Amino acid sequence: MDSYQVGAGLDLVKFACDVNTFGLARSRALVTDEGRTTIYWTEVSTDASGDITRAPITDATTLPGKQLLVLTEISLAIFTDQNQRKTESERLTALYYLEGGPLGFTKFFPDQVVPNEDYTKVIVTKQILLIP
Amino acid sequence: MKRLLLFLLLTLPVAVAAQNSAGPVQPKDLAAPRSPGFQLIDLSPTNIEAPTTPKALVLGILQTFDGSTGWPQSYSMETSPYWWVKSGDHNAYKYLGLKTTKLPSGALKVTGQDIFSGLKFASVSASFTSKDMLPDTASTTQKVFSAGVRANIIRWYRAKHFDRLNKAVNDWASQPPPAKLVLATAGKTGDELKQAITKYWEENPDQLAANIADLMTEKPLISWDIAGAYATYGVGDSTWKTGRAGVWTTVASYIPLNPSDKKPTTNYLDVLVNARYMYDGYALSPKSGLVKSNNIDVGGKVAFEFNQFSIGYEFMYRHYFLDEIDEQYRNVGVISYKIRDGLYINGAFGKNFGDKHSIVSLFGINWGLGSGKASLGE
Repeated sequence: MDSYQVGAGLDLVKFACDVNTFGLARSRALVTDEGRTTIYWTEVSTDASGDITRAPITDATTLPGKQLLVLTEISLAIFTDQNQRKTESERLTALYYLEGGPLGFTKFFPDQVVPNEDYTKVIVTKQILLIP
Repeated sequence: MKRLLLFLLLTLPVAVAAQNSAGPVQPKDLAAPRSPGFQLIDLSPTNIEAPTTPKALVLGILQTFDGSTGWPQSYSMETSPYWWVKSGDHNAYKYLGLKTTKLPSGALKVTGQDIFSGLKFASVSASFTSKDMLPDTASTTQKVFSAGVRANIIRWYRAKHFDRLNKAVNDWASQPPPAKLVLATAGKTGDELKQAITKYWEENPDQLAANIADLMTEKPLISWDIAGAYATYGVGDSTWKTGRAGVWTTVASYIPLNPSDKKPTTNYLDVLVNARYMYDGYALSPKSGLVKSNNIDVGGKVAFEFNQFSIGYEFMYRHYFLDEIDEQYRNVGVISYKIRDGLYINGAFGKNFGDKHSIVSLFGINWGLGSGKASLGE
């Protein structure tokens, strides 16, 4: 699992998600505890690009030890040809950005890209541990 | 007819197997190869066509049933370079032809339809075939390599189409993944992750995306396309010479015949107008034999599409710049019938360019082979 040093200051930690696909995309990011029993913060995309634009999470004081989870749901059903969908499922990318910690702006790549059998649907996941 | 039946018996199981292994092929997946290179050398069943939705890569197989072999003689590859450009600004709106503006929040808002959206998906293609391209007394075939480009300049849809598409996309985007799915997939990998996601997909069928896909099959009210191609012939064992080169443009109007507010339109009156400039290195002159020539084609096509059935008529007039070659005409009727999902019968009958004996008589079947398309005919 990737990690991001948030530090212990009062600077806002911000998150952004940039999905790159011609398919329909929608995303949700959330911050949860290690046991994933409580959700402390969540943000969603508001259009079919699946992007989440520089959303402030909170200051760093309460974040260490928690996890940032991101999931993007992509529909490739708009492509009528199955090989077209397969090609797009292999080409699509997502990038995740965190800033506000001592190391500043940091870019992350997806953990998992999971298509269904006919490539009409794809799920992209990311998990980042927030450390002091 | 015997050859046709033999070919069907030999190839249909392969086609069905290909479809089963790759999931069901929908009728909207299917189309005959429409590489500009095939159109330049009059290999396509119809000379007047407009592009469909853009694709990253299209492989085409055309089986001309001319009695030489039972194996396809014509292959094509077409790709849209924009699809492969590494860019951070690809999104669904660009593919769907929806113009957007970025709000202060960073979210995209649709402001109208982008009638030029097809331009960035301009394609390049290459094709190969064996065909008798020399109008002389010999009936030997030549290897023909061709390269082509094609672009949609304008694609304008009815306001109803835009409204429905915009609403459907907004509705889809306003339902973000549930938090419980994010939590259910966290920390999982491999089969465990797939099981969690599959469970979600099974419990939440995405009908909205299917509706958007259906809307994408609707045809524009007005479409304007340009294309160009260059073909070289293998006229000897190691001699390659320029055969044909041409540029052409097509303006098409697809007038809906069942313009329902709620369902995607499936019935159309198609009206297409086409003009083409062509250099032909091997035109037949009654006085001089094979000569180099330039000509202009002007023509049109009218067709009705009724769900499974379409019938149309194509007319083209060809004027040669060489006075010694008379003007020529092409009059062809084209019919197509969908037997069932994934299986079409096509027919084309009439008079082709050339002398009075040049008769078009095509009969074929289309099906999908993976990403490839196939047609059987002549």
